[in-house]
Amino acid sequence: MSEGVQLLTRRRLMGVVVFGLAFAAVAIAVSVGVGSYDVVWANVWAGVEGADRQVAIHRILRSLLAFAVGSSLASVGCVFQALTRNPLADPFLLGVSGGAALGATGLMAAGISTFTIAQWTIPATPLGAFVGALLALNVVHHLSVVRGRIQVHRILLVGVVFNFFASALIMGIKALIPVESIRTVMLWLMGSLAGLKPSHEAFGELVIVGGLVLLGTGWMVLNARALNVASLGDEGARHLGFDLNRVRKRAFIVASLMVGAAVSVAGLIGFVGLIVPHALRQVLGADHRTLVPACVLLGGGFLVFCDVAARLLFPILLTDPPVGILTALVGGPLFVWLLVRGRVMTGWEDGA
Amino acid sequence: MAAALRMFLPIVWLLSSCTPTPSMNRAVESRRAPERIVSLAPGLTELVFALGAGERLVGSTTACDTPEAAQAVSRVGDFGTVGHEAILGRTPDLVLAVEGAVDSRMVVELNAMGVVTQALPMGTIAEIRTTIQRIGVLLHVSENARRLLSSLESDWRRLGHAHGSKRPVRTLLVLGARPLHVVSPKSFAGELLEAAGGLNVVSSEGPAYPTWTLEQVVAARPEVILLTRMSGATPALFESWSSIPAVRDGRVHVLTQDDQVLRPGPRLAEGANILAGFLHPAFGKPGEAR
Amino acid sequence: MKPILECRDGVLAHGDGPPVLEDVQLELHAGEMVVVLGPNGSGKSTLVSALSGGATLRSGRVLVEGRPLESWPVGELARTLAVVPQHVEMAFPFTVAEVVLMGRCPHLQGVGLEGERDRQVVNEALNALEVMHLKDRLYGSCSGGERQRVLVARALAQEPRILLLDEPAAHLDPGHQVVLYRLLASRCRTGLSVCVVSHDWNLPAQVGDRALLLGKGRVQGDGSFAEMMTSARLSELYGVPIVVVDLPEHSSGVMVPFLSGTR
Repeated sequence: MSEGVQLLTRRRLMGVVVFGLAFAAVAIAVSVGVGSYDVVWANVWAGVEGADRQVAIHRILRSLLAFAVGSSLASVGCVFQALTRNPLADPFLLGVSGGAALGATGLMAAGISTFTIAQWTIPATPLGAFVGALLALNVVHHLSVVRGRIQVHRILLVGVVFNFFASALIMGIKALIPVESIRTVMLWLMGSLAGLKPSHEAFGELVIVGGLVLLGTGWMVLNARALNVASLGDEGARHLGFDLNRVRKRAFIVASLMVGAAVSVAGLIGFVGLIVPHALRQVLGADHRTLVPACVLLGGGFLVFCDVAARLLFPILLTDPPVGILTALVGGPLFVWLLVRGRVMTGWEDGA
Repeated sequence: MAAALRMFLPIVWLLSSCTPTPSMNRAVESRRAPERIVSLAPGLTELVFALGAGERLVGSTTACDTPEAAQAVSRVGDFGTVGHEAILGRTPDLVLAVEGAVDSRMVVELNAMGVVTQALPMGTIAEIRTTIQRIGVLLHVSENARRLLSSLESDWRRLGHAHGSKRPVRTLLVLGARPLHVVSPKSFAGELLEAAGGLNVVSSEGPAYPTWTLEQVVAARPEVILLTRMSGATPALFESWSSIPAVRDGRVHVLTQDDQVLRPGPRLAEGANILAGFLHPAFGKPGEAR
Repeated sequence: MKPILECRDGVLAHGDGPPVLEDVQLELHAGEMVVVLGPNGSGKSTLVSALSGGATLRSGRVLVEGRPLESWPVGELARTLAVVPQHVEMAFPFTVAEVVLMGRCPHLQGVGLEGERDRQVVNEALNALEVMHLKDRLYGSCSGGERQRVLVARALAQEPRILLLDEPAAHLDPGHQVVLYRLLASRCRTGLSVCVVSHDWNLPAQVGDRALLLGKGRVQGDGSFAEMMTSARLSELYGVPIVVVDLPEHSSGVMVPFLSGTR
């Protein structure tokens, strides 16, 4: 039968993945090619030790890290939106931003900048942010469980309240930090990929965040049908054979690791987790089997492009703006444009 | 009707330009020296002590920790977020604040309530000099102020003699590591760096504390990189960057004391000397004949 | 013959609240259509929830194909029993086709790309409910009646052996009501077991095998429509004057409520 329902074919899924990979490749290539230092690429290919090689490696690592962070944020945003059935959910909703910020500023206030374990020195701020994010999610999760089930409206509310509470605590911590460090804290909170770190540390960060992205994406794609069915509510999902409670618990573990890692290396970069899923959902439809891979690939590419834009602005501003500002400046108008054209939020349930 | 309006408008314009705009600093010369002073900034607290009027301080911020005697002064809040109730609670007869780091409305309100409040500029070395004079007048310690200024002048001249003829050293002064942000010539620390014989690789256009990427550091080729203590950065963070001259030559240093460099105040000559010590390793302590 | 779905000594309640229904005994046999009727609040939806594994069964047992409900793995249960709820709000903009395709989930593995067989089943279901023309429309923009038919199509796509429906005809016009009940009746003849909750008596009476009456927290009657559908019973059940008229040429009765009693 050629008429009737159109299926999501392997071809269409491959098409989305291939397009996403191409987009990502272009973004990364552009990102590696752009910067204030004029890299002599001949030297790099020849393997000559020197500034060209070092800058090239640095750019590649930074671009890949930006991609990994963008992927984490976009895909986790998508998953949170699905599992809380709320279009306003973003990766930081469930107390993650509050916890991460609290962890990082807490350590800064205590004056701890590194931890030394055996012969490894680990930078304290990322570790503090990561642990803070995980702890926050744990607390929020526990407060939202009623009789063994996560209640969706509860988790949203508790998450929001936790974030406010953490902000208040951070205000208090400000009094303990040396005045001059407040600036560092504020810049970190705004989200930035411009950290001072040796190459091996950058590589380590990439391995951790990238590894979590790969594992997390795998899990999310395998559970994409559960994410679709989550739209029906817990009862409806159960009728179709899905235990949403279990899926939700596992999803929060996966998501908290991904977002915790992303936030620990890049601070709080907003908009990506909220806007990218919406924009892609409008183009591809709500089926998470294509939506999740698209969020991973195109969310990553989006952040890379924003990072490029941030670096391109340096000769004009003479400072490297936090990438979190660029995502809002680019993402905001983009979202409004989509909204105005009526392409977002159609088919949502509210009688509009 | 139109003709009358045309006549009326220039008169209004003339009158408006005559109206005195309310100034934040009323030209106040009190007959009595103020006995109860509140300082809203660490640099100002240091200045008050340096002028010998430290015992008259009845309020300062939590960040006012030098000199040691300043730690005993009672606190009215944090730097940048002091409420006027806390200030009034100390019943001061003079409140000193840094221009730009205090809410101008609060200054106006306090003055309107009869508490003499002055917002003084402390952004550049020239401004500090002016402020020292001004505080001298306000606190009736003009003689001390003159002495402080002349000692600063002679310190400065000594610096100039020591380093004036040397080739300026390309330097980068790092304020924070994550993200990497640095100091430009426009800032107070930047001025000290210049006086110490450093050539700041950061451009003087653009913000005072811009954010940089490692690439920009490579492009700037600094010969010396100085890391402030509070940045938490260590030379180890630069270890894979041997193409940067400062890294290659082992001239990445941590400033174990960075207050004098970062905090605009009377210790500016000290700050400049600390920097000079790193830029010109052969340079001895201030006061030594060369 | 063993019942395909049964409830014994069921006590149904919501959370820690007072019991909604007590002493519930129910038996559904293969190929049978049982119609659950009763006034508002008599516990009809609660019963459907309990029969499908919801949290409303406080005590008693529900057996599906002879095995206790709790012992069924979620996936296997979904391949056997399908539920059509009263209304469903989709949180995201899915199309009608996507909603009905969700009915195939219990039969899919892993990432779950549907195959040709799945497509045929879904196409059949869409055509049977006369909603094929809506397949690319967003579910959220469909009318109440259209949505109900889509939900029934989805349940049929599950290829269940037991179908529970909670007031599936509430928003349907008489034409579509007839289509629905005809469809249910024909499926029953091919082996599907149906338990349908309804407000309406007249259409179900034409196709239903048995009527289960709920009222005042108990089962008020369980038997054939001929036995259950009498003026006295219905007036008692609903508390208003209801007259049942026999229509021998249609071999079924019709019930008519009146504003006031007979003169």
